[in-house]
Amino acid sequence: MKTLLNKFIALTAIVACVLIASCSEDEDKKPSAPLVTSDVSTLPIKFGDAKTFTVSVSAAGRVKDITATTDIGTVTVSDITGVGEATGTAKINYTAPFDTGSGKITVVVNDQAEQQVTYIVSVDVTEQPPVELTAGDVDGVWGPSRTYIVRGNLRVPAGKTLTVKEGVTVIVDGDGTQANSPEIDVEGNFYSYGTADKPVVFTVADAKQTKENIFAGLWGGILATSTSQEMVVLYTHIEYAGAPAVAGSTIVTSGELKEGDPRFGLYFNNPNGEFVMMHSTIAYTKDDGMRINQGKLLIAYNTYIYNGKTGGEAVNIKSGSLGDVAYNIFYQPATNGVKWSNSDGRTPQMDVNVYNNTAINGGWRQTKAGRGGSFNLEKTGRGKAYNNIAVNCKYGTRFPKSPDNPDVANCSLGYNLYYGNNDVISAEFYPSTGSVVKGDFETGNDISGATGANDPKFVNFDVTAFNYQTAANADNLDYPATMNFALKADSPALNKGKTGFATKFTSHTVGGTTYNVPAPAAYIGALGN
Amino acid sequence: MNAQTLTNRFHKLKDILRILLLATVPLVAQSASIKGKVTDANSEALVGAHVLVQGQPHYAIAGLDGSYTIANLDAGKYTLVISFIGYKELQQEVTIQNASEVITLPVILEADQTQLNEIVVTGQAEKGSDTEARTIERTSANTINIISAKAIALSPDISVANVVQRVSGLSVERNSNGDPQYAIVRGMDKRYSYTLINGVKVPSPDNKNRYVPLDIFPSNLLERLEVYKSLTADQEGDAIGGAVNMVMKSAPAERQIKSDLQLGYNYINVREGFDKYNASVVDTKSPRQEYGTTYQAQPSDFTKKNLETNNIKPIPDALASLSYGNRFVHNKLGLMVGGSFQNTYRGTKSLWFDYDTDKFGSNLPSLRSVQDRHYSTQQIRGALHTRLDYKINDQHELKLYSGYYKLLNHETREIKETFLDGRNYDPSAGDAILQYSTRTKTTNQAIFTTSLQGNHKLAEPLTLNWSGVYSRATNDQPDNARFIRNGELKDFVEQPQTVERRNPRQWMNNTDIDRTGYINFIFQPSSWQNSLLKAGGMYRNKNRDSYFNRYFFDPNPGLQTQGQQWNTYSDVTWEIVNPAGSATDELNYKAHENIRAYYLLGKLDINHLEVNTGVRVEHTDQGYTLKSPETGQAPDSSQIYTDVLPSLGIKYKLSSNTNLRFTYYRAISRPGFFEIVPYTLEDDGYQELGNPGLKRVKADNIDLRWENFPNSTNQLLIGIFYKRIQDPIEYAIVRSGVNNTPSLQPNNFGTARNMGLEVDYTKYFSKFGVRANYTYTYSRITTSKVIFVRENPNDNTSDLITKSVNETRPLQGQAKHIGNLSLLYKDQQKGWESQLSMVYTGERLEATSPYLDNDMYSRPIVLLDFSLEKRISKRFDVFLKATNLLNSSYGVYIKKPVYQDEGNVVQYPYQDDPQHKTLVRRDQYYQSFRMGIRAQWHKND
Repeated sequence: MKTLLNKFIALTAIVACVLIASCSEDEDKKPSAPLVTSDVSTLPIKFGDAKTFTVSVSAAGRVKDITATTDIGTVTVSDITGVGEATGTAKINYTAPFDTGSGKITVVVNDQAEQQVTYIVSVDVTEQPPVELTAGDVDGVWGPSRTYIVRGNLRVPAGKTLTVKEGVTVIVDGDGTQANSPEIDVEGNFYSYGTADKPVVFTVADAKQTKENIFAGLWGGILATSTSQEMVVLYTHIEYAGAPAVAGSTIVTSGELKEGDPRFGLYFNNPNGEFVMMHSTIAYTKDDGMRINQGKLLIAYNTYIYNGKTGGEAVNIKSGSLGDVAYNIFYQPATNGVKWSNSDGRTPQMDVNVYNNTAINGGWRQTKAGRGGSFNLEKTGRGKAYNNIAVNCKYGTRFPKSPDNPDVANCSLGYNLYYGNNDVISAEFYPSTGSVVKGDFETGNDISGATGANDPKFVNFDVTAFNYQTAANADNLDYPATMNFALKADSPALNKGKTGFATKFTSHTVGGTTYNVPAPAAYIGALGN
Repeated sequence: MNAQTLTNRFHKLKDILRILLLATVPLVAQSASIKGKVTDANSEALVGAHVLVQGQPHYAIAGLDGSYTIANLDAGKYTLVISFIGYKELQQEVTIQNASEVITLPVILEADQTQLNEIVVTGQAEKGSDTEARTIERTSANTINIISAKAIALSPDISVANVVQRVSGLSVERNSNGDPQYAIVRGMDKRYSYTLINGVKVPSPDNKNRYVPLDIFPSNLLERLEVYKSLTADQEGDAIGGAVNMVMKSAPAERQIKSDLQLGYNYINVREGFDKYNASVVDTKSPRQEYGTTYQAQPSDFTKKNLETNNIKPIPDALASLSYGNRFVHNKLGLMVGGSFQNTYRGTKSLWFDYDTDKFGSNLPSLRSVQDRHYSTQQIRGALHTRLDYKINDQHELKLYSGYYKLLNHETREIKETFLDGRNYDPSAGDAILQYSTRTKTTNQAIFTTSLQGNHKLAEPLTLNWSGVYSRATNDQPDNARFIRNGELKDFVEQPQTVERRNPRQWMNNTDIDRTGYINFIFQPSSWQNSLLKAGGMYRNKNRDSYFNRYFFDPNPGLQTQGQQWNTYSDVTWEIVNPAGSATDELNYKAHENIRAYYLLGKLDINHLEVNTGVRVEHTDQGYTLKSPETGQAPDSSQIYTDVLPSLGIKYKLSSNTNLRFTYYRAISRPGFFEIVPYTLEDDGYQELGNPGLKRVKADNIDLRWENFPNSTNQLLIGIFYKRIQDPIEYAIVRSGVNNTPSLQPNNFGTARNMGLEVDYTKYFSKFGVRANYTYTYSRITTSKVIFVRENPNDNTSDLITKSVNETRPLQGQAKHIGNLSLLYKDQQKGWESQLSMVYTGERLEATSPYLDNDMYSRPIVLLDFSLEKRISKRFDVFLKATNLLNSSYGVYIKKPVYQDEGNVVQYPYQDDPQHKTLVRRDQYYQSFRMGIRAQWHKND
């Protein structure tokens, strides 16, 4: 008890002294403001990199705290020493963002005399140097926001996963020959997670992105094998693919292609696998933009531009496939926007719904007369074809005649809009090489009529300017100008769509994420107003 | 066939018969005559023996049955001089009492042993004669049929393949030109037969198969064609169907020069013209072969001139042969040199329907398009052979045979394809989608074979003979090129054509080299008379090398329209889709087959009974090596196995001219060299797969034949056969791979049975002759077929699935009824000879379909040929030959109605009976005519 009392008395005395002392200083003058020094004054840094530097503080008024903020990237402070003392240090830990830019790190030091000093370190964030990949196995994560240069065939081994993050650019160093046109073989899983702001791009070097190379087929594409379980492709551009297949590659040994046949932008081939592709673009392919040999699929909100030089579809779906293809834009494919068939007769019988898509100028580069030009359902395939727009396509939706006829007992067709600016086109809204005439199925609800009638009124695209004869020759094509296939308010396609029909699936859960299958819209075409 | 064409045909037939009859009206003798038969000591007719009346202009030549007649003789005393090669000349005095007397004088000639050399194995008969043929048929231990050189010369047949269809029990498989190419023995697929030259097996130039195309051999170098329908232990054991043995001309007993020259024309070339291309510009090597495997080919590496065709009227066909035979060094050395050259321009008009089987339950053939094809083929056939035999002394003899056979085909195929789909096809409005394809294909096939044989009488009862054989077969198909265009028919007007993509140009070649040795010991003490023991063995090392490379061409720019960018092929500009070529195709492989065989055979000949029995052991090592194996493929593999093959032949002489013959033998048939390669070939419809697990076929074969030979030329053979075939190889649908992909694959299928009846009849009546044969075949095999059905047949929304169903059917290639009938006329004295021959092939299973009940059958076909020959001097004959007089067309059907959509009947072209059957192919060849001259010089001339 006695000792406790003694302690109390001593503490009271000390507090009294301090108070007296401080009152007397305040009255005199403040201590010097803290002085901050750093071992760096500027910080050059690459995307996503982390760097640490040390600031030292001399604070006559005793260090109170040290904090840091930044306008680019992230920063934390650690290992602060000397709080309550005249000198102190702190470690500033900085992580760069995945954007190019300059900014600053602001270090703030307060002393116990309530004096604040800031110290600025300028930051210069620059891109990472590209990663060069020669032939071999790959897995793990690419990016984000990094460039990869592919100089040989890559393989994602079975059971492994390659995840490509947003902002990644993959430049495939191919020249279109069999000897030097790398492909990416996916025996495991492949996820390409671009974002609206930072898409993933698979392309060729800038110098090769020329009009002359639109159909050159400079690299091999992303080709899954039958062991690939899952593929998710979001906000991803795939361009300039379609080089001839190489002997010994899986796509050849599996029997899908013969050595020398053009490869595809994307290929999937597992009846039990899941394939989801949304908000992506496949452009400038020598043959088919993509082929789904078999699998459960969702293909939605994508754009396809110039697929196939003298033949080939934007999307080619074969037997063993089930799923939905919706809200896509097919701009000037050689043959069809979508050809879906049960060809090869695999199990299960192909059943895919194709709805709310927009096909523009399709079918003209296919040199063979009678082939489709917009949407083609063939060879015992089954599915629904509703709410699609076909503008200036060589043929409307086509169901071939026997022996290539689809499983018409289990097919639906109607509520589509056809527009042609020439009699040659309007004569084939209901293709003479097919079995359907207007009135069959639900085509009584189609919006179709004479030449020039039923302009769908796109926000930014002139449907009247099209010349089908010019379009027949690939050499006449140039990169498309800006266009927007949303509908103007007075579009005849608005409120004419069929709603309420069941999609094949309602959702797909792939790579831990659930993707909902979009319901059919009340309008016709891929985009409303 | 409508009534009009039937009448026309009848008139045609009548005209032909009239010509035939005009040529054959015999002159009726009003005055005295001498007649009789010339035979040898064994009562064998000596066909062609000369009967001269000394000091008179009268003479006769013994007819087909040995008979002769000398008419217009006055009463008096005559000396007849009767002579025949190899026989002692005979002089016979005859006295005719009065002018109306008919004297019958049988003549028996005695063989001249000094003149007739012992090494002329076949004895008294003239080589290549019918008599010789009948003798061998009668005395052989095998069930055998023979066509003699004489019969071939009289027929219009230019290749051996033409000849085989005249043998009882044989039908032929034709190539796209309509020319017979392979023999189908007793309805057994061509895989079940093998081909021999002078008893020695020859390799095939065919890339995928081991059977030899018989159209490479010109018929006029043959001494005879033998078809074995049973095997003895001293023959190679892989002929379940039979073996075709081409016996080439051998050295004659005395100097002989024979030659013939023929000119001919094919009517189709008058009608349709002949599409000729410039074959001399064709590159024998592809860019990859020329510049290395990494070479990136450019369009300028390829000639464009090979795909420009001209429709011309070709020069007449020319066929020539020359042979020289003689004996030297006191008859010890025999030589025969023969050469043959044929340049013909063949044509075929053909219809092909592209179809698929309806997949919604009806299972009917549904038509996609019809192709109008015109084939024009220049066939250049050259052959050169020599046969040397040298008799060192009575004990030792050597023979050397070398033959080189070459067939060069320059084929142009023009196709116009009309698509029959949708409303677009409207024959009344003249609207249709068209596609055109021009293909030029040079095929150079050659077989070289050389064999050295020795025959040695070692010690009294023991004889040794041996052979060493080297053979080489090559097949070269450089720059098989296609030019495909798209078009349209609008209002009956063909619109300008645009160039289609994926135009292939491919190089293919393969070489087989066989090295074979045979050795045989014959033990035959003189006390055993005709009985003997024989033992021996053989070894063959076979190596095959196959190469394949193909480029695809796309038009560049993609749209090139006729009349704007191009008029001929040379105007089109291209890019190559696969500049490095496609050298990893599985057709790039090596194959080997090493066979060791041993046998022991005994022949027992007692009185009326002849028993041949033996056993053969064959050891096989067959395999392949892929030159560029792909991942997952076995780069090489071998099958090694041993077979024991017993055989038994019993011939019982019921009388001097009647035999009853029983044979049993066990045989095998090995898979093709390519079939066991694990290849995958994309084809129309289903892909094709190789099958490394394919087993050899084994079969037990029984023949029973009653044979009657009233004399040396007449015969009646009646036989039945039964074959039990274990693991027969047929093509059927299998499901393969992770995709469960249906593919066509050769496989072994349980046990098949094949049985039948054969009748072969030859009869000569002085100047007339009839040759006829008929075969009835019945076989059954069960294989799996596919039908499309709903998973739940009562639920129309359930999935369409394919279901495998077993189907029992005849063996592929089999016709139930096959018949031949030849009418012959021969006036030896006036030198007229004539033949009207008919081949009938009944409905035949042409190709099997993967779908249930959709097999393709060719309809019965009758081919009628005529030939007429006149001897104009001792040395020269002139002749006229006409083939396919009835312009018989070859038609292939599926025995099911054409599929029609409900409530919508399309008038498909050329379908003559769409309610009951679907025409899928029809070929027409039209008539061919040839005339020629044949010359021969004998030593004594």
